[in-house]
Amino acid sequence: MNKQEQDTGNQQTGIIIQKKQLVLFGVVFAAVLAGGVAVAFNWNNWFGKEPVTSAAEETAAEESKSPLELDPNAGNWDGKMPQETAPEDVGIKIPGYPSIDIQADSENVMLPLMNPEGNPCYFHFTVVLNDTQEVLYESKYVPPGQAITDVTLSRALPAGEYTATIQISTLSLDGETPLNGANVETVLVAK
Amino acid sequence: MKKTLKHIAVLCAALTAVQVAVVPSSVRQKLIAYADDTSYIITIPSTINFTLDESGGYSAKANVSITENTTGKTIIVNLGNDSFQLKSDAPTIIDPEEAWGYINYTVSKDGTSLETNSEILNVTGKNDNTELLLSIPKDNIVFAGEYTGNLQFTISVLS
Repeated sequence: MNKQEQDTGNQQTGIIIQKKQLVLFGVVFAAVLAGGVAVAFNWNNWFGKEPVTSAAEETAAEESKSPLELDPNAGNWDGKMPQETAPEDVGIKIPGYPSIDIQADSENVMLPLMNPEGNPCYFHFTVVLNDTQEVLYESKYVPPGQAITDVTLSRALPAGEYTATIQISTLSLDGETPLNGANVETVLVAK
Repeated sequence: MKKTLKHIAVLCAALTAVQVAVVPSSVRQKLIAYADDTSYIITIPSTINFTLDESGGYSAKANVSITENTTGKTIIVNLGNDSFQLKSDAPTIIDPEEAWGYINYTVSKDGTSLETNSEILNVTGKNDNTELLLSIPKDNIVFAGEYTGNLQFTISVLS
């Protein structure tokens, strides 16, 4: 058998990949790659304690320069934001919820404490039970456009409903002047 | 080899499916917990800025508004202050007859004088606002200097 016949024989017994199989493999590979890249970019946001974003990095940089103690648990707000108001409407947007569901019998709960974007101040949150005036949680300063969602309470609450007040005190963005504030009453539903 | 490629393709598809199902689910839970479908936004003034008025005293306006309400319930805003006072930055100012270092102001709405903790806004809808008038009578201004004070609002939901 000469070399040409031998090569032909090798080609006939070699790997045959159909075009559609190649295309399928390429599509699947691209999907896995895209998914992996998405997970990699959002790993800290979805699974980590502190979101690693440009805004968080800026906040950390500001914290190292300024004596103002920013809350390390504050991160970018992914929920619904208030609509923008006209430039001449200067004020502080205070969000509130009639009730908030939290996990019972757990110190680590999800509690939305948001400082809407565009506010001219930092927010400082204190969560107080109305019946006993017990402080359940106290935050550091949260910049505008960021929110604390994962909170460690001073104690776990058994299942039930608790009237509470989220006391919001504010501080101007230069960190020097207290501005007007609000006490937001809500019901913590532990279940 | 053909079988190996097929196994690899199935594995990749499975990994992709897991990422689609699991990761967004954790994010979705966080978004649901924010309860942004049952919330409200109250806008309060950031500061009290008194300016000299024609009476020789000082006055300021404060607007309070509700700009979003998806709760379907009545939102009530009260003045949460224990007192209507501005405090001097200079504690050395002393008046032997009066409390030193403070200036009292009054708060009124639609010409009606308000007390501390009075209700100023009561609304079920999505948009409403109220304007408060803060006044420092001329006779209250005894000592010159810088005085500061803040308004604290209490926001509740009528169940």
